[in-house]
Amino acid sequence: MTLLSIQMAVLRRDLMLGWRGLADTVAGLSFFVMIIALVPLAIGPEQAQLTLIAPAMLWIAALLATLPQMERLFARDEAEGGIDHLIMIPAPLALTVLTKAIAAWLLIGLPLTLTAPFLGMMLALPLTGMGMVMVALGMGSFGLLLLGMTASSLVLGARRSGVLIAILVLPLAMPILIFGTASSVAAINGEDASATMRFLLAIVLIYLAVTPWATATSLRHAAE
Amino acid sequence: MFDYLANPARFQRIASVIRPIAWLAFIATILPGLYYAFFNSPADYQQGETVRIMYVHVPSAWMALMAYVLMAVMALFYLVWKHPLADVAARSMALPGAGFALITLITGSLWGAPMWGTWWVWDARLTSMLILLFLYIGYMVLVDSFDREDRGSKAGAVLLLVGVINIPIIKFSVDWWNTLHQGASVIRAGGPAIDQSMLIPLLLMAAAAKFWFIGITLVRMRALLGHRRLMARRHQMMAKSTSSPQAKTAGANAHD
Repeated sequence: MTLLSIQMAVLRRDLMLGWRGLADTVAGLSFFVMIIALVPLAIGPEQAQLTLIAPAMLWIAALLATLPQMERLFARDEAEGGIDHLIMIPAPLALTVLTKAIAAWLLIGLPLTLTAPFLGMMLALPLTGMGMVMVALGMGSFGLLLLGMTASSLVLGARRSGVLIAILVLPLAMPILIFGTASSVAAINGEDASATMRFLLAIVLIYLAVTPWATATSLRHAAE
Repeated sequence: MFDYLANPARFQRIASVIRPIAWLAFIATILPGLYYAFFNSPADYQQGETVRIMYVHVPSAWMALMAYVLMAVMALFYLVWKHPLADVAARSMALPGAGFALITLITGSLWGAPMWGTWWVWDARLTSMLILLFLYIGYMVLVDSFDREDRGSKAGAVLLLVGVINIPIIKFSVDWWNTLHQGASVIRAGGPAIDQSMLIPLLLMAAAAKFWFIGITLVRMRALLGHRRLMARRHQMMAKSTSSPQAKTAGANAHD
């Protein structure tokens, strides 16, 4: 088996499991929508005010809605003894982790990104610049899930996991929030968002370079 | 040198020599430091007497950052050379480091009240320090979340390394964010070079903070090593008592 076909098999397995457990994706997405629905209820339905805070709320909601999904990134593997299998796959573990991160993005990050324009409309956002917002959300959610993979592998076997993942991921995710929101605000205001988008991309690339190895190391520790 | 220190007993011997020296050096720097800070340094022409908060605030901020970097170095030693003492050191530094971060935030807030007219301003440095405090809290909760202690140590070490790579990114992001959203607050960053009359107490206080940190870390390491020995001994005794049934019944009777 070549490296590629191994990784395709890992991807197919994770997507299949995700498809059979579609309720998790639906629940995560509903959570995302509900957070956004809370905003007008809390600050009032006035359009101008909603438009002003909409990009920030989209990003905060995306961040919060991704957190509870992170717990199950490795939990199922662990419950079925699959961590040992992941390690024994004849491929670099960091690469397998990356493949799993892509699968997780397709199951968690992509649906979130595709829902964002509708939520934007609910918060009275103009549609101009929404494409850029979606690109930014797509990149940002991938970066978040990379951090989530690491956090989720760190808490394997811990007494508490949900809230622990949140306090591990949130401080590390702040750069994504800062540049994600900034690029979205620029795109919606019709300004040039390319500078902030590049910062966001740079940060995601740094995470891409660091987290798969950290996750792989941590998985090996968990399997010891 | 690292191998030489690897032996916990030898480390304890050396530490027991360094510990009193660190405490003495702490006293020798904090007393003149406080004297200069309170009585023998000028009030700032703009900030008045409140500038004296700086002599606690700035050394704490330095120490909070330095402690985290030191912990990350220890994490590297622990992961690469599997050195248990490095883990003990990282764990021992966490709470003092977090304490310095908290002191930085509190004194920053106290300083901000007269300067900015409000207790909290989303100043870039204060915000970075707040995130650093979150990183400390995450580490401390993580290492304490496992029934198997070594699992917590390893997870904590990986987190420290990811965290220390992230600190410059966080710092950069927050600085960038702050210039974007700079409000009407007083900018105290940079400014004119600090006068020598203020530099002396500042450096003395910074040295005092470092000596205190060395002393408290060594004390905490001794406590943690002692705790681990105790646990190992208890484990041994339990194993012994379960292996010989006679001893077990005798123990059970004694409890009755």
